[in-house]
This record gives sequence, C-alpha cells and structure tokens, in this order.
Amino acid sequence: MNVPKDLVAAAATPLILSILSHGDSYGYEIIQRVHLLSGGEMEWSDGMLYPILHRLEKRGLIESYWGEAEETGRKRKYYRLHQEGAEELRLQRSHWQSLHGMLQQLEGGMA
Amino acid sequence: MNKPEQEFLLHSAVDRWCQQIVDKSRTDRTTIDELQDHLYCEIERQLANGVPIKEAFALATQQLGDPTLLNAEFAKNRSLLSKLICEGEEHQLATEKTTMSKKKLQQLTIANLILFAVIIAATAWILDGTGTFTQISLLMYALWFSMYMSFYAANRQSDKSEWACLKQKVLNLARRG
Repeated sequence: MNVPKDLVAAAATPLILSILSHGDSYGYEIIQRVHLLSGGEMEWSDGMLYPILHRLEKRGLIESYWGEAEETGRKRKYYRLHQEGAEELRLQRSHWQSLHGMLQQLEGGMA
Repeated sequence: MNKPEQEFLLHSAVDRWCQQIVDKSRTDRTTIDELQDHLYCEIERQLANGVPIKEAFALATQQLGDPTLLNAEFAKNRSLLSKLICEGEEHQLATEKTTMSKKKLQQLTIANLILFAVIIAATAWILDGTGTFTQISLLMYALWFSMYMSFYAANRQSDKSEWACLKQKVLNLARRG
C-alpha cells in the first residue's frame, strides 16, 4: 500500500527533522533511512529531498556544512538540526499526534 | 570498454545530468556537488549489486527523478527578485566567463559617473531656483553609488546566480540601447 503523494509531501519536513535529530546526515543517507523506515511504502523521488533540504536551511531549521565522504573522499554536504528545527519538530510531532489521536477516537466509535 | 574509459564516460554523464538541473533552475552551483555525490552513492550501490555501469547510471538518475519536476522544485527556492528578473531567459549561471576584467569595470564605472554627472547637471539647470535640487542631487548620488556597488559586488561574486543574472540583464539593456 503506497502512501499518497500529498501525504508524503506533508510528512517530508517532520521526517527530515526527525532523522536529523538523531545525528548529522547527508542527502543520500536521509533518503535511504526514509526508504528503510517506510518499508518501500513511501514513494519519493530522491531528488525532491534536496529542494526541501535547501528550503529548511533557508528557514533556519537546519544548517549545512561541507565534509568529505569517508570511503571516497568525495565532497559531501552534511546537515545538522538547528535549535529552531528542534522546536519545529516538537510542534509538528504534536500536530501529527493530535491527528492520530482523533483518528483513533473515531475508529473506536467516539464522535 | 576498459575501466578508465568507463570511468571517464560515467563522470561526463554525471556532470551533464547534474548541470541540466542547475542551469535550468538557476540554483546554486554547489547543488551540482550535492547531486553528484548522491548519484555516485547510488551508482556505487548498484555496481556493488552487479549492475552494469550504464544501467547503474540510468537507474540512479531515474530514482533521482524527472529533471523537469526537479527544476520546478528548485526554482521555488529562488527569491522573488530572481524570479522576476531572470524568468524566461536562457543563459548560463555566472561563471568566470561573465566576470568583467578590471579594465572593463573601470570603464563602466567612469561611464556610469559621467552619465550621473550629466543627469545631475541637467537637473540643476531645470530645477534652478526651485529649492528641490539638493534633495534630487542627493538621490542621484545614492543611486549612482548603489549602482556602482551592484556592479562591483556582482563582479566580485560572479558565481552568485542572482547578482550575475541582474548584471547580465542590465548589460544586455545597455548593449541594446
């Protein structure tokens, strides 16, 4: 069962911020984690991650720095969560939890 | 095909693919490095699974997504000014090719100075005795200074796509005029 695209789009920011809350990472690694976590149910063009990362950086939620890939020495852009990003993540998590709570209540038969 | 030839073709193919994204979306050139790293990571993963090199490249670019859609997404990140000025124009991002030589910059500065001197003189002649000349001339000085700094800054930071785009636009207008 594939997650609809609009839901993927809505979940992109909290997913990225959440992954970065566990440690600095880079684009390809973030994508691999999303694929792994979703079990293949989340279809996402890998390239779409980068404009989102750049937007989050512009908003000051994350910041980037350049390093080198360990194995190849290739230039690699890493991202880390900013304090504002951690606060945004807390806020988004609470929104999703509220939605989840509402759906659970409705499933349980409460109006 | 021997290994060095394969590696060479792969590098060219990756460069070309990433360049099309950066060119059309007018995004930062460091995005090329970022996209290249991603492509190589995926290609290496495919190669480790025994996928032939050309197929690995095709699969990796397919996974990155449709370049047209990617361009559109990157373009959303551009500032409003950049969109207004550069939308619809087909030209390269600023590179060392668009950096003016020192001599050209000096010539442009002098031409700019003469132009504004003429404008100020003409304004003084027209507004003589009206009492508004001082305000107008201050405005002219400020305009001249900001234009000078724009060209100077654009020349110094010619790899910044938005400044280079504005500079190119003004130069094109000047050439046509």
